[in-house]
Amino acid sequence: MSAIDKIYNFLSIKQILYGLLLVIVLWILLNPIGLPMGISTSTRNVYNYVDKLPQGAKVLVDVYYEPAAATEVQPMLGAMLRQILPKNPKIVFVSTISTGPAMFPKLQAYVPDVFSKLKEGDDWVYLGYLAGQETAVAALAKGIKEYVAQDNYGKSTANMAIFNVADKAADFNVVVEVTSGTDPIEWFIRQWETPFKTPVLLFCLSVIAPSVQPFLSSGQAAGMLTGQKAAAEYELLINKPSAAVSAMDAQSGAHVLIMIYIVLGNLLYWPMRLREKGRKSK
Amino acid sequence: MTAAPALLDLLSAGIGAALTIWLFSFAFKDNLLYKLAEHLFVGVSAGFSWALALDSIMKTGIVPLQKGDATIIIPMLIGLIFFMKYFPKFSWIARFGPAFVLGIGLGIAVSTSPESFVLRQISASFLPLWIPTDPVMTVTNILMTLIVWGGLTYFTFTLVPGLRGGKTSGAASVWTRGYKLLMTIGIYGMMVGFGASFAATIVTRVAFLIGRLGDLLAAPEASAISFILVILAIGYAYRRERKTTPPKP
Repeated sequence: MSAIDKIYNFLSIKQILYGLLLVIVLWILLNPIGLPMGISTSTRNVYNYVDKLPQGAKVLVDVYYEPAAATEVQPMLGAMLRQILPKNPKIVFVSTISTGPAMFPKLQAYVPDVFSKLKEGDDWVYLGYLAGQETAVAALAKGIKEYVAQDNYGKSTANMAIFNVADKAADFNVVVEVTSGTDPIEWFIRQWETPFKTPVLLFCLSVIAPSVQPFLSSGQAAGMLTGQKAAAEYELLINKPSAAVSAMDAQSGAHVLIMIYIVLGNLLYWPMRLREKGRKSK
Repeated sequence: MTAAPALLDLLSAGIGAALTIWLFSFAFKDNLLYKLAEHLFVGVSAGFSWALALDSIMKTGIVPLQKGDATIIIPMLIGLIFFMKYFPKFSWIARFGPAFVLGIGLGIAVSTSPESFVLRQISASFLPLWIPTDPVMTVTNILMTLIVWGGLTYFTFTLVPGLRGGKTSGAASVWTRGYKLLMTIGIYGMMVGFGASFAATIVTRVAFLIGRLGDLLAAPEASAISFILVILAIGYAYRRERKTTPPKP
């Protein structure tokens, strides 16, 4: 066995890669480097879009993510809520995924400054998990108060002041789809954007970005934030660096390790392949 | 904050840290603590779904019924129809439930799909191929158009003679060569797309890891104890494997 084979076999042990990844990420989390970061056009577009929303903007937020995805998408939502707060918004939170009710208290704990300044029932409401997927989204568009009798905490929606101004799809200035999947994006595009022309902002995981990019290119989505990088950029734009900014160094460190592995893998593979070809030609 | 919620927070952070480490340990070696965490996850998820389903029935069914909304009886009956499959004699009735749900879902989705997913996407792919003031956008638009056409030609299998073998001549040959060129562009475009998807997957997985490690750092004592326990469990798993594996002849 040649030296190349030995190195190749050693690097192919998955436990070594996982171990290195853990050590690097942990080390950088404990000792942040403070790498410089630029602001991408797509993040700036979302920031400008939210900035141009009128006073008292009516916003529907779909909390469609699970604990793992919260690392990427919760900072985006937190930053957006902080940016929109001075406009005295009316925000209807809803979840079309069953993990939503478990994530909403975490969101409240993440941005206590936002929720302490808004009054429940007048300025914000959380409807909880609504079963039915696209059918539920379609029903919400036609009238929230009529469709959902109680909010997540069992309070009647009939007398809530927020629904006097934000009840039907046409009442809302924007829908913010905070998602770890592509399905709810399609539901809101089909049931809110297409028939009622309600603009949709997409806050999603990096992994689904290539799948939903066509909605941005076609103008069906008013803007899109994807991944921890966009969340960090947004936090920088509102001058409130938080969880995403502090995670970016660790992201970069992990990516450098993966790139080193890709380069090393290719460098080791080529001589092995040439040797194999030579053996076959003999 | 009072003592009880603070203790509860500490406990939940500790349990979260322990379960995270035990689940991550599978990447190194299957062991008892991983299995314990895995079974707990499945059990808790099932219990959570049950509680949520019951809550949903209460909110959207029982409460409106108590308030005198008799129309809710119809969807509740349709819901109950699903359970008829447990009675062999009446199991045929159970088919109406899914049929109703699928029919409604399809009707709602189909009404706006042609505009959302066909017309708007097609119109978005008609791009100006010459923008004198913006050369970068010109190149981008030309590339986009070529890749769209390339992708479409790649998945069209019946149009061009000689594409999958066989000989052509004259105009047909030129047409076939042009078609093959577009197909190649389509293949490269798709490869770039798959590459972007793969890279985005890595970004997301690393973000997940950072999130969990951030939580571990919030409960350092519990993390340290769980880490020691998992090392012992992995050691035990290796020892057991050595004992049960027959020696090589």
